[in-house]
Order: sequence, then C-alpha cells, then structure tokens
Amino acid sequence: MARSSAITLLSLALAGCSDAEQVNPLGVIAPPADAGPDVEAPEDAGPDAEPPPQDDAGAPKRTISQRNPFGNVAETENLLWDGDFEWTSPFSDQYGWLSGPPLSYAFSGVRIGAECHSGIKCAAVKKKGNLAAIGVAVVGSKLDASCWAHVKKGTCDLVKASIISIEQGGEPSAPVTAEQTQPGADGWCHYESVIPARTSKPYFLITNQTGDEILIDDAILKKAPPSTALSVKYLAPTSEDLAAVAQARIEILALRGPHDAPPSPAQRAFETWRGRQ
Amino acid sequence: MLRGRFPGSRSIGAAVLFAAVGASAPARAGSFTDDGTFQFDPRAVARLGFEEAAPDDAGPGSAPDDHALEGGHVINVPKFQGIDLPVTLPQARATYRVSAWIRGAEATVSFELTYSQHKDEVAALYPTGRITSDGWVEVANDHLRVDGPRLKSASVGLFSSDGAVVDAVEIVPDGDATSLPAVPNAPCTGADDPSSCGVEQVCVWSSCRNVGGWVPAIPSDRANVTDYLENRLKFLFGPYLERTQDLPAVLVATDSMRHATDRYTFWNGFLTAVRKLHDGHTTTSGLADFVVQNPRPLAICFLEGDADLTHAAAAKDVDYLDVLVSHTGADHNLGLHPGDRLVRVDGQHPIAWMRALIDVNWSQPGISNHSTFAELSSTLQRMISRYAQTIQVIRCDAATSTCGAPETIEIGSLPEDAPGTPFDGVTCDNRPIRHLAGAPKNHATGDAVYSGLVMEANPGEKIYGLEWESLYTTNGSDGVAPDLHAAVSAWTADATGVILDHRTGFGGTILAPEILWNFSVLSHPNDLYVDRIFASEEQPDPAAAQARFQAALSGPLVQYAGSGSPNTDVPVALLLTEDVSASDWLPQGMKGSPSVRLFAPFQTNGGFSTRYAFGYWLGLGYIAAVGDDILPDGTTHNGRGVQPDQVVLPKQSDLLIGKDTVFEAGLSWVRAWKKP
Repeated sequence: MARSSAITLLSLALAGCSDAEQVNPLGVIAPPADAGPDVEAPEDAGPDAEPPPQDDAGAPKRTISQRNPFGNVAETENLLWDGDFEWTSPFSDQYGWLSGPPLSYAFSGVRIGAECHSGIKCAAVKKKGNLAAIGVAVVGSKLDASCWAHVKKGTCDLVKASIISIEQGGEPSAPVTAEQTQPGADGWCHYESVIPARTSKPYFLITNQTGDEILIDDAILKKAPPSTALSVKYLAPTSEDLAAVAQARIEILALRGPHDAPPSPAQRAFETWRGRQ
Repeated sequence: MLRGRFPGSRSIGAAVLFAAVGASAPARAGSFTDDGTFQFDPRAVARLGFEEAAPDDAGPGSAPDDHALEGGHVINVPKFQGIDLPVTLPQARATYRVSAWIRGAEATVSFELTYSQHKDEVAALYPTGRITSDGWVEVANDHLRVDGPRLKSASVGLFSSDGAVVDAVEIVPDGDATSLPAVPNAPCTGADDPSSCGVEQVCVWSSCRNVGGWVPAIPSDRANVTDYLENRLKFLFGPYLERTQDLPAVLVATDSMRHATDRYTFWNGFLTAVRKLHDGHTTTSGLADFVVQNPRPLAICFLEGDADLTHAAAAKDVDYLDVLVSHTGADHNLGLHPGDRLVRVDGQHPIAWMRALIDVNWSQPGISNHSTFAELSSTLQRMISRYAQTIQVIRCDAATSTCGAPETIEIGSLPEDAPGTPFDGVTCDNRPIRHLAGAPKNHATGDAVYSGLVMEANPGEKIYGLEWESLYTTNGSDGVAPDLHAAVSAWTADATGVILDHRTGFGGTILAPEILWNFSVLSHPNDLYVDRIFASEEQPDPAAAQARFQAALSGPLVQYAGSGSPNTDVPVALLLTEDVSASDWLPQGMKGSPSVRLFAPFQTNGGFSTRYAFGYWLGLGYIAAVGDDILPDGTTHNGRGVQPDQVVLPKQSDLLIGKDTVFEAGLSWVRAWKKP
C-alpha cells in the first residue's frame, strides 16, 4: 500500500496563508464520539497551496489539502448572512447575496473546491457582473470590511468593492480597496477597509470590471475595535463606478418587501426524482 | 464481482467490490499516494470507480475522464437529474463510512437503506474539507448504522442542480454490531415515547429511525461554528416581536449545541433554535423529508372549528379550538368523513400535540402570532402518520346528525402500503368544499388561479369567486398576475359581489395584492416594510416608529394600498384561515375598506417580512425572516395578524351536511350588500 500523503498535507497546511479559518484535523471529520473539548485545529491550507496537476514523470498528479467545511467560521461575528457562501443552496429562491446585473435573488455561479479561497464554496462573477452581500451594521461602531477576489485578467483595482446604502440620505459609499495592485501568485487579491460607522443598512457591493470572470470568497463585515484607525480610501470614483452603485441602489430597492417564490426548479426536480409524499 | 445498476437495469459499469467486514477499528477513507493517485481503502465493502464504459444508449453513465480521481472514468450527474447506484452490503450489523468525491458543482450524495417496501433511512454526505488541487471535493458521513440481516436494499443517490461529476464512491466499515442499539430499529410509540429509541434515533412511523446520518459530524471547532450560527439569528433575524418574546428560548437551544454529546443533538439544537423563532417565514428542512417514504400515508384533512355536536362527548379544550375533519380522499381515510372530530392525538389535544413536536419535527410550520394554529391543523395529515401512535376520534352520521362516542385508532398498527397501492391523496387547504367549476377535486391548487361564478349562487346573480393560494409575480405581468387581471376585468364588467377564497395563502410579492386592492380599496398609505439595519436592533418605541413612518411618507418606501377610483359598490368578501407574507399583506391592505369584509376563524399569521433561505449541501437547511413592518400608528406588524371583521368558525354540524360555514357567511353578506 502506498503511503498516505498526510505529512505533505500537514506541512502545506502549516505553511498556508494567514487565513484565520480553522479546520478540522486532517482526514475525516471528527467522529461523533469526539464531542469533548474543542480542538485547536490547524489553519486552512489556503488557496492553490499546491501546484496544478502535471503530466511530467515524477510530478504529482494532484495534491491534497484540507479546508474547513464550514468556511471561515472563525469570524463568528460576521455581520453578513453568509460571507463565505458555504450555506448557499440550489433550493434557495432568496439568499443572503444578490447577483446581477440586474441584482436579483436568482443566485448561481457557485464554485466548489480548490479554486475557492476558503471553505468549500465561492461565487463566480461574470465579466461586468456584480454581487451584493446583505448584512447589518453596528450602532456607533466603525466596520471592518474585507473580501477576496480571484482575478484572471487585469489588476486588483478592477474589482470594485464598496459598502453602500440604498436609503435616501444614507451614507456615501465606502470603498473597500485592494491591498495591492497586482494579484498574488495564486491570483487572489485581498480587499479591506475600516470604514466609519453606518446609520443605514449596509450592502457589500462587488462589481467586476476586469474583463473576465472573477471569483469572490470570504467576505467579512465586522465591528472594528474602537482603537482601529479608519483606512478607507475615498478615491475619486469613475463615472462607471458611480453608475454601478446608482444602478445597484435602484435594483436593491426594487427587491424590498415580501418575496415568496414557488419551489425552485432544482427543488421540483429533486422532488420529482424522489417522489416526495 | 457484481455491478451496480441504474434504474431501468442499465449497466453503469461501476466496479463494486465486496469484501469481508472488518472489525470496529476506525475507518480509513481512500487515501492518496505521494504522486496524488487515489487508492480505495482496502477494507471497503463497496467501491464504485465507474471504470466500465456505459452502453451507447442515452442517459447518465460512466464516461472517460482525463482527470478522473480514480482510474480513468467518472460518472456524470446531469443537471436536475438523479441517479441511484445500488450497492450490496454484507449481511452483518455494522456501521459504515460512506464517501464520494465530486467535481464541478455541488451534488447531493445520499446513502439510502430499505428494510421494508419503502426507503426507510437516509444519510446525507457532507464535505469533509478534504479537497484536491484538480477540483475534487470529498463528501462523506460516518458511523452510519446498517442492520445487515434485515437489509433489503441499499443505494447511493446522486443529484445535482448544476451538473456535477462524481467518482470514487466507497463504503468502509467503521464499527461493528456493538455500535448499533440491541434492537437496531426498535418499535416505538410515537414522538413522545421516552424510552424505546437510543442515541441518534427518533421515533418516526412507529420505529426508531437512525438520524445521525442526517447531519454532519460535530465540528472540531464547534465553539466557532456554534457562535457563528447563533449570531446569524441574534444579528440578522428581523421580526421585532419574536425577538422580544422568543429569542431567549432560541438562545437556550443554541446553547445546547455547546454541550451536545452526539451529532444529531448538536445540529438539531441549531434547527430547533430556528424553529423556536416562532415565525411564519422561519422554518427548517432536511434531506429525510424528501427521501424517506411514508409507509402509511393518510388522506384526511383537518381544520379548526366548533364541534357543536360533540361537546357533551368530549369537552371543548380551554386553550385550543376543536379539530374537525374537513375533507378526505376516497381511500386512506380511516373511514372518517367531513364533520368527524379529532379529539386527541397520543392523549393530547391535537394542537398541543403538534406544538410539542417542535424539538423533533424539522418540517414544523412556523406561525408569527402566538395564538393561532391553522398551519398546524393543516399539517396533521402528515404528522399523525409520522409521529403518532394513537388518535381518538368521534364519528358522526350525516343522515341523522348524530355522533358516537370517542373511539381510539391505533396509527402505529395500520398496515403499510405495498408499492403501487392506489392513493387518493388530498391537499389540506382549509376549504371543506370548492365552489368554482373546474377547481381540483383533490384541492391541490398549487400556483393556479380559479375564478368564475360561484356555484352556490344563481348565475344571474353574478356573484364571482376566486380560489387561489399563490401571490407570486415578479413584475405584475407574470405568475398569477394575468389570471388576477382577467378576474378583475370580469368583475368590473358585471359583478354584483365577489368572494375571494384565500383560506390558504403562501404569499408571493406585493404586486399581486395590488391588483386586488386596486379593484376595491381607496388608495391609502398602508405600511412601511423595514429591513434590519443593526445587529442589536430591537423593538422600536412606537413614537419613534411612527415618526419613521411619517418621515418615509415623503419618499418611495411607504406601501400604498388601493387605487384612486375603486369599485366600492361591489362587496368583496375575503375568506381567510392560513396565510403568510404577501397573503398577510392582502387582508391588511383591504382591512377597513367599506366594501370589503374579512371572514376568518381568527387573526392571520402575521408574517409581515420576507426571508432568506440557506442550505448545507441539501442535507439540512433553514429559512429566516429578515425584516418587519411598521403601521401608520407606529406598531410593528410581524407577529400580529390581521383580525377578521367577522369571526366565523367552521361548524361540525355544517361540515357533516356538506355545508361550508365560512363560505356561506361570506356569500350571505355579499348577497345582502350586492351591487344593484
């Protein structure tokens, strides 16, 4: 029997990104008997921690890594419904993210596995597409907003992220800016800003202006410690930026109120297959 | 070596290897060599590598794939299609780890067991966190109990809503007979049976079913997962009144997750917490609801009413309305008829019994107000079969309008249906009788809208009716909108009165009520829907809420109901019983209009919100309300239903003779006030 690659896995995990995500021990999820004290688990191996499969003799066919199957739950106080996309469901007709344009509850493009940054799931955003995460603010508190985007074409700043309000008289949009211009070696860009307290409902709007599909993952909106300095950079928005935010406001406003759709086509297909009684 | 087969006995070319069951050593999943080659666990009792090519005929099958995880083939799961992969397991009592690898998109992978003539148990496979650099994601569940000697069949089910690729399915023993209860699926006497079932078992359809496989393992970072999930409810659940009244009990339920010693208790703790939010939009679900088959379906619909013929035989409950048979199917009805009374379920009033299921019933309906239970009554049909051991009924004779003594029926000893048994099922819609030509005999209205002259009136009276349940339209032109517009056009032409029979309403969007409001209601500011803004937001002070409403009047957010020139000379009777969301807004917008009268046994649900839905790999899911609604007087509306103008309880004496009490009340009022 060949040796397991567990050692490789562990070393990759320990060398991984600085993600705060905690994961289960390698291999199987802890069995039910393991219900005792919590385990301090190794960190996520991070995205693309291994090279892609190669056909060259001697090169590995594939490498294996470990993710937290529940995503970045270390951010227990994330103010977004599902920033890491782990609870997206094909049966859901209305979810904690909107996708567009036009922004609507029809949410598709969920990706799984190693191409995602954290957890198992992430979301693809087509060229000129956008996403908006739904969340809440904290009274009188600065907010720390962040997310990851995988960029194939262009620079990180072509992914426009901001915290917006849809209310009349709400605060201006607060950009969530890239920490670097060029994507990392793994193609991922990190965006983060500490923004002033909001008095209106926050939506985390992400618009793809890169010219190719992008992936979005691990969006976080959380209360920032009072001592944290604001880091938001109010760059002069382009006309395209302004138009995108204005249009998003209109589209989100149109979605207010009750919306109880019939079962989704996926659910109906599943029920038909299973002959639900 | 045997082959698994698709439905229709088409070979799938799956290599299924059988081996002796090992001892109860910890399971080892398939592993990888240093070069990344996958290897099945040598102790696997079933391995599906899909290495044999599928036949040429169409349909899902194994296919060559350069990036197969194991060997050179995979199985493709087409979009919206399901595939059953039969597997044969050793005839021993044991537990197993079942795993598969998926690629490309989320796929539901289930492990399904049949001990009778039906699917009896199911486990959902969840991601373990193990992934490969070429896109494969492992899903698994472990310690799944199998009573080999009794097992008739086992299968692995695959479904994908996007189209996915699956490979390397394997079943590895991870426990022996000592991991199962002494009697693996012991008989039991209902949901409140205190002793028959063991850990990770629930009494369903009179036997202790294993439910450990419904859920993932307890996460090793359980504190984080618990805090994270708890905070979804604390930070983001919207309705104010329920937050005040119900959140304390919710937090007790989530706290149970911190101390749970088995996986079912852990995850059911979260789902119970969601259910305890006590909200019409807020519910939970699980894979078992879709897969495990009801061996003893019933075709009996119940509703709440006044058992005016039988209070001497069984006194009225001080807390709850009487429960009566509304309508039945031609079979599977226990010999019950409309007007018969359901007195008790497992010794309790039926509503009290249903309410007590909240800790175990993942499909328990939510109700926003705290005093009505129509949603529970209409669900009794399914829940009695699933969770009850006995019911007590009183049968009545329509010819003499007399009733007998209370009689006990053993639900647990009813024979199970053989496959293919005819079943004349009925949908429970709170309408004992349908009143429009063409309305479905089985009461299954679905998304349809039925309209026309009511059959109980002379055609020359021009009294129109509408029977429908959905208010879903995305733009005012699709969904139910064309039918509603057509009905309104007919009423405008020559109606002397209208009866809107919305006794079951599943909501939709505001655009549909607007069509009906515009016909009969003078335009007025109705309400202000408010999304939750802050994590710590609680019940607003009425004066502050009223000021918020007043301020909003100058903007686009206040919802107006009605039109500038409604048809107020046409009386409209709106019949209500069970509703939520836009179906709550409908009566709210009509309430107070001089030409409209609301007829119902009690207030509406009070589900004035919208909701978001979440699922974890289709194995478990929840839906939560996210907002609330402010009325012009500054009160918040979620949790407070719309009161009827005329309280009408379905009477036992009416049901017995084929009379629909609520409808007749509406018809009588419309006739009295009909347009000349």
